[in-house]
Amino acid sequence: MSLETFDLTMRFGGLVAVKNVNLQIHGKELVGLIGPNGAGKTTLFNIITGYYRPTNGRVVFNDRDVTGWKTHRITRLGLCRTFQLTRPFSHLSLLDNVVVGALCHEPKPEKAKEIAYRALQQVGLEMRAGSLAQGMPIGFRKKLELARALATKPKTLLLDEVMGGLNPHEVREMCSTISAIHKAGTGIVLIEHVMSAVMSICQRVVVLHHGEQIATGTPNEIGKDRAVMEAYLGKKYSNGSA
Amino acid sequence: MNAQPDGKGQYRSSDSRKRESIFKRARGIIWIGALVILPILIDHPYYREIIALIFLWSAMAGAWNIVGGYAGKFSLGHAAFFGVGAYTSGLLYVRLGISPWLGMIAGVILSVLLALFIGVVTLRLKGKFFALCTIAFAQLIEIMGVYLRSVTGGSEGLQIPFNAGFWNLTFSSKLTWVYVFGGMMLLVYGISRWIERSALGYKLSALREDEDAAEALGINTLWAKLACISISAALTSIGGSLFAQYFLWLEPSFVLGIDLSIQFALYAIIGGMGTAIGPILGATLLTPLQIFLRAAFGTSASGISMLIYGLILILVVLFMPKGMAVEIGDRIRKRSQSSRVKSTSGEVSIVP
Repeated sequence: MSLETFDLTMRFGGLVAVKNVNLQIHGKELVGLIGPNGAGKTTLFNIITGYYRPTNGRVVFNDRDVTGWKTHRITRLGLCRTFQLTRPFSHLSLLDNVVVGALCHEPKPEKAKEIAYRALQQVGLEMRAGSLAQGMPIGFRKKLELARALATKPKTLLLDEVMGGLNPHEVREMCSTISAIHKAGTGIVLIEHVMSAVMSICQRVVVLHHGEQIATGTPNEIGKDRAVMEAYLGKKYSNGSA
Repeated sequence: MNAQPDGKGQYRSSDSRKRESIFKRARGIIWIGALVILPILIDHPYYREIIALIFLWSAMAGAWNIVGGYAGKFSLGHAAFFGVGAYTSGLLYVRLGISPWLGMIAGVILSVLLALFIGVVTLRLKGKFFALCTIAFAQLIEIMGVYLRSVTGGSEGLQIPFNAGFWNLTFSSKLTWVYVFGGMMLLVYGISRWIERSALGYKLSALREDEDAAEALGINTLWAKLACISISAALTSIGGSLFAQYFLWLEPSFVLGIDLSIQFALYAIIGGMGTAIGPILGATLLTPLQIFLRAAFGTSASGISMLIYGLILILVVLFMPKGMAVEIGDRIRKRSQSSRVKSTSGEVSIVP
């Protein structure tokens, strides 16, 4: 079980958003994907999950070349993503939102409801199962995104900034939820700007900058990496602090 | 499903669930009984005609609602399916003497093929662009109906001979037609309810809200949309075939015209899109209203009836923007909720 990309490149006109990225996520790893704004992180997710067809390169999931597949087929294969700007089905209840995900592998709505309810429990939203998704605060919407993705029974989860906009208490909650999902046997790739979270829960960190993969290693190694510091702070300050 | 919060029901005790399902079944039987008995009691051809039309337009608005309401794809070309159904069975009957029952099946097949074609071409379009495209397709078919005069009879219309008999799908009694259209309405209602509860219903309401998110959750959105437009087209086509045998006169500008498409949509919008009962409510309110207004002002001042009709539509949309079924449902729910909060105020309001 693994997710691999080979020389993945995405060009939008003159802009190269992702350049020769060779990603390797082994089985049940929890990998952080970081990088300054505009580094190409979300674009990478969009390519992997079939929203964009890459200009060049291949995406291989569980030994199957899924490059150019439709998004729903990739999800059915066990690779599900969440959206950075949450996209709840506003006029459905939270439970029904998650049921939609559960229907991915369970054709019967009655049984899908049970799966959905368990997914809501995993993220701690079960007490709001009946309320409409419309007008939920950001913390709830992020949890809902996660629950919906969980309900599709993914083998690997791609989480796009599930902690963005959360308060410190909610970040801690989300960290423990993600760790629990990981321990239960799901591989996770985590795009995140909340560094404390990335450093504390990820086993490995991949750094993107201007669409290129500039570093990869354990959180500790990444914290000391010169190229990474340059990317985040600029040459001048990275020299001073290193 | 649809616009209301759902899913609070299924973790209750099986006992209360059983009681509720018995209650629901009893209510259904009472409704169907009323539909069967009422037309017998109203022994007047004029009123029976109105009831027959209410049933037919309820069914057609309900069929439109499957695409326009559940999937949120605002079609303004459903007259195409209605007209294809009407002309297919009508022409096969008039020109070749084939029973309208068989013609109806042929019409369904043609309409579904047309729906799949239109679907593949236009269903990736969103909002108004989809609506415009469906208008264009329906106009194309209407123009074909006018120009293929040697086949369809063109604008002069197609007269269908009156030979009463079951196999000819021609009945002399208005009451029979009331029941035929009533059955059609129940069929559409039943299918709508089934869709609401099925996986397809969940998928449709998901893609109505956000297609990209629906895809990300593993839904083949194209397939779901094609399934729903095919079901809708098939039902609309059956309605067209029945209408042809009831009215015995077909004219492209009516059975294929944009007015009819708008009418289907309007009934569903006024009654409540995305609910099974909404289109029936809308057609039940508006069909007799149109007929009475036309009868009251038709001769003295022919424009006035449309003016009053338009005013009433504006008032309904102003005060019930979500449609009657949804607004009335909301009000009932609010009332029952506020009484529940009073009785158990402790546990309801704590949750943030």
